[in-house]
Amino acid sequence: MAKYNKYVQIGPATATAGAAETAMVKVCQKYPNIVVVLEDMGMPGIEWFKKNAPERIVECGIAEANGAVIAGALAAEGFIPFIHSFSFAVIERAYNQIRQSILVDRFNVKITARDAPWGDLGISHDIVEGIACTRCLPNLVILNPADAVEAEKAYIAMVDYVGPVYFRMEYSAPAPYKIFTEDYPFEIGKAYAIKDGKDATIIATGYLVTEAIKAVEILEKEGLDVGILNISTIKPLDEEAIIKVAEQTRAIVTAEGGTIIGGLGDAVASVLAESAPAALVKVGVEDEFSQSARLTAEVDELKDFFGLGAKDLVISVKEAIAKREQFKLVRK
Amino acid sequence: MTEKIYCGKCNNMLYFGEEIKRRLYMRAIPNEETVLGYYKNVCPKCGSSLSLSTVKIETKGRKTWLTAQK
Repeated sequence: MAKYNKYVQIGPATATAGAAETAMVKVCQKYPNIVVVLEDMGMPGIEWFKKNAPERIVECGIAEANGAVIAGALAAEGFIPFIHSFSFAVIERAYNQIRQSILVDRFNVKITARDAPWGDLGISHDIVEGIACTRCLPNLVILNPADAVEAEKAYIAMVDYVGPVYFRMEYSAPAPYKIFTEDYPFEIGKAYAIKDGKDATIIATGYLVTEAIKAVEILEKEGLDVGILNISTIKPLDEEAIIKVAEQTRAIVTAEGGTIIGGLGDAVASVLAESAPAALVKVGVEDEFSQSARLTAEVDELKDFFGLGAKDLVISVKEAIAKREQFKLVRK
Repeated sequence: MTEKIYCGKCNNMLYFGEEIKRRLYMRAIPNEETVLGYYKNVCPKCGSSLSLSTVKIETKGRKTWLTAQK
């Protein structure tokens, strides 16, 4: 088994949905000004609200644009509103309202949304462009945790932080490995090196960190020492951490469960081009929409279809190393 | 141009967004003190007191003709 850094102890797959629920129940007791603005959907911790604080629930129905404006107005009055739905609805349908009524004034609204390249609700509901279409919006922090431990910590940190946050949830993805120990110190804006490597680095986010771990184990057996940098804050991006691993290996593979156009791959590419030239291969969904998958077997099939599995990352790491040699880039 | 405000003691990020002094429309946040006030001048992570002298403020942006004059 590969040697991982402090706070990393790889364990069995654990769904992240429960972690967000646990975190929500904790924070809504700490912050009595949290209100939930529902859009004909549930929300992590909603049962707690129904039982203990029904007056803190605002139901907007299927009117996401309206929900965003109401959330902005509540935040202006000192509440901490949460809005939750699928990204296609809560982000894309209400894009203009999020911009005008939340972000321009930088109101303290938390947007939690489901976004993935596969899912039981299909192409209309499970989208791949959540990160890409939010990265360009000023004042917004974007979080995309890798496992259940990080999801709970990120959820709590999101509420402690005063400002608008988009918390991406990959509920439709397979459950990720348990990656971090309970004392892992999550910080908004900080990437975490899960493993150091000399030959290449996979810069991954969300569920793809699990696939990166599987890929590193395969590559280790082939004699390649590959690192993993976990990017759980997509914005603001931890450029310092990216530059550090780029200088060490000069061969980078980015891995994300979303579109590579405007996503993590493009964000990393900008950093490399401006500050630390390195060979780069971007792994993600390539200018396509998502696909439906109800069963684990179908998700696995789609993982191959989109090229998002460990075997695909193995190929991309070797491609990045070959590019480094071709470009004659020198490692530190 | 973006601005970040960190707790000077534990490095917890307290603000990320547009550079506050450049904003014409973000009326709710006229200055950095307002941001610290949102936290009641106490870091939610380490509990240390927050003031302009204890936080770290970083601004980032490309060099332009205007910024080069300063």
